[in-house]
Amino acid sequence: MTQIKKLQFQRKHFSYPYIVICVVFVVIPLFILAGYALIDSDGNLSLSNFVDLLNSATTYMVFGQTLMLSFLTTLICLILAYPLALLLSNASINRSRTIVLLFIIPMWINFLLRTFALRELLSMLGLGEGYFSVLIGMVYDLFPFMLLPLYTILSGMDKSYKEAGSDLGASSWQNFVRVTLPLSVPGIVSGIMMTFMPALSSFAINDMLGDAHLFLFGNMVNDLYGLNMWNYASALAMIMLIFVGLVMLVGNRFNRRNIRSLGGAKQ
Amino acid sequence: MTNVAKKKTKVVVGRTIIWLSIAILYLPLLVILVFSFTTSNTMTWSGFSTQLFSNVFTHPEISSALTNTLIIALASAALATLIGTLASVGIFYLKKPLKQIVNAGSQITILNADIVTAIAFMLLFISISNIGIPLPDGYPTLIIAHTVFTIPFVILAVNPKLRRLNPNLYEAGLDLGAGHMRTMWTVIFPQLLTGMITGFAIAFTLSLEDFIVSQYNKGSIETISTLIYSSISRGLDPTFRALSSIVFVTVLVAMLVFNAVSSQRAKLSERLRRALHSVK
Amino acid sequence: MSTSTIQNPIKKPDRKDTIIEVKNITKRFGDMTAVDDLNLKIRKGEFVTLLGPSGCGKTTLLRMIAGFDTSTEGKIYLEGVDVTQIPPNKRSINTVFQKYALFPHLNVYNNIAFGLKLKKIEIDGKITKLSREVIDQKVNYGLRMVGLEGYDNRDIDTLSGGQQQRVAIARALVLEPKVLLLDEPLGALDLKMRKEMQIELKNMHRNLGITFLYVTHDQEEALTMSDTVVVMRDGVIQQIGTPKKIYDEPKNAFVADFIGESNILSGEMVADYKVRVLERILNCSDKGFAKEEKVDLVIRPEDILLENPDKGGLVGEVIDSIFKGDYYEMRVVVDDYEFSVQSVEGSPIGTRVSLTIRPNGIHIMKKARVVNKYKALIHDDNSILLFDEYFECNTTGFEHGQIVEAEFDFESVILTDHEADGIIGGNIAISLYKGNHYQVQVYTDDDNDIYLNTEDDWDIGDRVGILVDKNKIKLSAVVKEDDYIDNNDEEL
Repeated sequence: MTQIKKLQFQRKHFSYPYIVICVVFVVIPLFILAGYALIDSDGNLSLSNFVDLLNSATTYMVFGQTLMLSFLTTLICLILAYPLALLLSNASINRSRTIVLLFIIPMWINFLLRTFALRELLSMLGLGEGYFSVLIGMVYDLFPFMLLPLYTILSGMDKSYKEAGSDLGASSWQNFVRVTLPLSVPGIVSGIMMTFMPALSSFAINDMLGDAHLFLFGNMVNDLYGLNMWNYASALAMIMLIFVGLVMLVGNRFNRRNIRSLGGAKQ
Repeated sequence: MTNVAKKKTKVVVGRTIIWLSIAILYLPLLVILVFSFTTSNTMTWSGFSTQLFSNVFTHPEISSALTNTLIIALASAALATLIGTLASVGIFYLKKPLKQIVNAGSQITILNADIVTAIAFMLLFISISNIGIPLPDGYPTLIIAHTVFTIPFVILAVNPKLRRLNPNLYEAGLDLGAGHMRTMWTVIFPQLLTGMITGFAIAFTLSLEDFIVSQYNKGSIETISTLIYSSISRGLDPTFRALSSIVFVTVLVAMLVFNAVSSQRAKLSERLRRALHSVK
Repeated sequence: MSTSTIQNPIKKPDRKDTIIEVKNITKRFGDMTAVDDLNLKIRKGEFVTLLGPSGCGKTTLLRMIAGFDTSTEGKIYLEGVDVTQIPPNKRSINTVFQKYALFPHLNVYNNIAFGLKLKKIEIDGKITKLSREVIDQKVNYGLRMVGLEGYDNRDIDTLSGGQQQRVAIARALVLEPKVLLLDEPLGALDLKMRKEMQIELKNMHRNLGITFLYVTHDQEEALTMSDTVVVMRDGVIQQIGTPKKIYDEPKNAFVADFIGESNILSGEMVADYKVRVLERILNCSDKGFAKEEKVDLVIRPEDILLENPDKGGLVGEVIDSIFKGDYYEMRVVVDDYEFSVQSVEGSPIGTRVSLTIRPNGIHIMKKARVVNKYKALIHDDNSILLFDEYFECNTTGFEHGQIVEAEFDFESVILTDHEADGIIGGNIAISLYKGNHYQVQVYTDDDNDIYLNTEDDWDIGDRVGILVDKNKIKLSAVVKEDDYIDNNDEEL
């Protein structure tokens, strides 16, 4: 009886095509990546690629520059987006979803086209290629990814929390610090993830707006790949993968109650 | 009285900041829009012309990249929507450990650095051809890759709708004699439709936007992103200005019209709700 | 200050003068009037309940007193001081919210301490914050008061609904407000929990002596807990009084119907103390009406005695009888009117009985409205402009463009299921069962009320189309030729 039941189609079986896809196209490739990373130039299994990378000053410089740029990008996005999200979610200032939509529309335009447009504008303003331009480009590209999760959480926040705050004696500022800000943490975390992660692997913006001084992780992988040094490139990607995994764990811990807000972030 | 005045100032300042931000966000796009009406290679005005716009469709590289991009985006978004919606329903009924593992798989796909994803796909496709399975670079690899990395976003878009679904609906379908597939098509999918549309739109956008995964797996074909990237070094063809403008204006108009229609409907139902509320 | 001196850090105010006064308050949201020129005085230490159906304006009134909404017109005084423009954080009024609004990022202790940590007090002319010890004492006192000792470190989402409710009450009470506002605080609890909390709230009110302003749509809750009940409808106070007074002497059919179960009948006053109903003359305890004045009668089900049918009078047949534990609930049909009767002794279905009602069991009220009357404009020979639409009717004897009064009785209005089948659309606002028919009030889209009698039971809020029998519309000239204006509600 139970045997028959097991063979019968059940609703959960609808997920099986996806599980197969996950295994073949997500899990296996990561193993292949690990395989390449663990094979040295002589075709032997070893950690030498990692050792070489970790012994090279260039690696640290590249990681340092990439982390710094990603950090600055994320920070600037947060500082600019939070007040804007507050304004957009304030019912007396903005009731229109169309206005919010106006901030998302540029996302539908290819980011390289946008970056190209920005480059033209910056050069008209007399800002040439360089670190500052790259930073502007990164912020310009990733800003909506920070704004959306913040707007989603702030506009969805039950207004009775704020009312309760002021009922209990909090001024607007105290209400912001003690109620709104802590309640928006899941949105902040998901905004940081949505901004910081793509920033880490970006290199095209640097190619378009940067000068030769800035060499990012993405550039390094790309160059190694171009030089057919796939084992090195894979090892570098593995390091990045481990780093991403760590950030993910920290983010999930922060966000344990509200992983779903990631979903809200992209809508 | 001062309270009212304070509030008014706050509203005015707030709105000014919002519109200023929008202006800054759109400024580069507007500059491009203006300079799409002139033909010079650099951004200098050399007289009004609509030449660049007709170039978009006659320029062999650009028009073929545009076609490639659209075909890949449509195909992968459609596939991702189908597989993702089915998966969303299936995952909903999975038991604990497997469910968590599958969700973690989705999360890795979403958060993984694009460049790692790109290289992993590339190595996979190489390994596949190495073991003798023919998988030509180009459409097949790009459609597979784009489908795989957009499925989790479809799942995220469908999930909230699924949570609100009446749990007995599926049983009712089976009870009335429909098979699993039929129940899915005729009962569940219509209920999830708005989530699926959102999921499709996100998948489509991500595919259009993608650069790094395409760059590593495109084989001999070009998408808009890869074409722009490869032409940066030799100076960007001015035709791209017209292309950006076309995309920009189309998207802007489409979104605003869509939004106006739906907000009209929302306003109507809001009025009805208010009328109802006032008598209860 | 030594610990031993603080047994009850919450002081007990004197019960005397007015603490809250609401003067001519009006609140409009767009074109909707939520509270309409309302006046109310609340005495110190009272337990006052605002009672009414949802949308009657009770919550809006509460929110204006709390300071979350600002009135469109009128003023609110707290202890004689105008607080209309004062923000909520500067009013010594605290609120228990409908869904509690406990802060999910804070534990129980910090939720209760939230307001205390912000509080500033004056010691020796210096403004300081409360010390940690004092906050500790007050939070613990609050926890003890609501029976949640030892819950300090619990997360909000680990608490049951009832426990969250208690935290919300403690959080508001530790601030020693002059007035505690409670917005349907028990609505989310199950029946048993609700009964328990009703008793506890009542006890807290008695022990603390703080003024409670309570909002509910549950009449039983209002009657059992309050010193004073304020019945509201459409932003207007219908009646203010003690629970007993409201129950025994409802001011109009709405209050009677809303509070408790009642039989509402139409009748005419024959003379003082005599009323004609169902073609019989009954003795009542009311006087002072005009001869043959149409009135509404309210008879509570428990005020009806069932006696031998030989007694005559209201003789009818029991058609339904349900045992409710300590009494029987029966339905008795007399002519075509269906009485609801409650009695400790049940009569089986099919029994013929005579209904006896003592004179003071009959409560007589002025009829709310006996006819629909509106200003209208003569359009052409056979139509008038009424409610912005053209209604057919005979207009002979009037000039085109003339302003007239159009009158039609409750029988001449027909409701249609589909809005499109009627000349104008509207929503069902009130449906009162009058034994053999329903008296329905329809709220039209242009803010007018139309009354009608119908056999059908319409649901409140239903969309309907409205037709008026063209032969029944009576027109009369308006003496003063003022402009064609939208008709405002006739008085109830």
